[in-house]
Amino acid sequence: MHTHFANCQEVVDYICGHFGEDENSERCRELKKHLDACPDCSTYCDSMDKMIGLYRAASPCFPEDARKSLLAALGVADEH
Amino acid sequence: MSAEDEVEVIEKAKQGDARAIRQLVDEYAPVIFRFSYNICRNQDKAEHTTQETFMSVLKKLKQFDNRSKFSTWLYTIVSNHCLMLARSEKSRRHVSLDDDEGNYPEIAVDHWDHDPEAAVERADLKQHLDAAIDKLAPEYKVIFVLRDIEGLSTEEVSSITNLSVPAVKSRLHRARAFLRNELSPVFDEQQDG
Repeated sequence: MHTHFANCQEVVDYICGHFGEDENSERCRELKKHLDACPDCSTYCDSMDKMIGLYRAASPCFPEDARKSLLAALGVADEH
Repeated sequence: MSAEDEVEVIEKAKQGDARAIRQLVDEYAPVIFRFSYNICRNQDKAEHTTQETFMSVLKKLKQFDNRSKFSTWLYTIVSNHCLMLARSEKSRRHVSLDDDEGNYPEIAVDHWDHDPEAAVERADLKQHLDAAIDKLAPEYKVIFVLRDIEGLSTEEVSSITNLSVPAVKSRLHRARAFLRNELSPVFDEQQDG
């Protein structure tokens, strides 16, 4: 069963908007303090990371055949 | 490729130097393809979009003046191609996340214990991921992929999409929350079972 919460909303909004930005700002330090103490926020952030990891892991590589077709379409096929 | 080398290669490519063009393809086609694939989740369409993007790049290369990063310029072009392709497929229905700019979607909190690398090996999870992404409107997908998958800054995403920074943040939050909530039941099921 999911637990819905509203009191951490501001913190989560902040994470979503500012993830990866200056870690030394006062607000970011406050955020970390809160995250350390709030299991719901930690869980939410962890699952966000996993969701993004899943998306990244599901990306294929650029196929060699497609590279050859692209070079031919651009008129710069590999020299042999 | 170092920044200095890149400037030199771009200048040569502007003059039609085949070797320089191949260097740009080898450096950036994988990036463009991955980005396209992450928007359309279809290999053929991603290959087509990569080709269309590079045709545009060569056509417009003389206009590139090094005032922005070359990669930022490329992302602008490929984003436009992806959005054009998505808009041409009018039959597809996407979930609207535009209601009430101030109201964010409700957030479900539950534990996900699965390792993403291992999870993606499961065909059913990949199918659910593709289905969830497919429901997301392309305007949101572009923001999510640029920021979270490609790792660009909010300011770069704002410049590429021609949206304000607050609009980028709002769309990003909605896209993340939507995808996560869509995938939650699948992960819950895995854990309960």
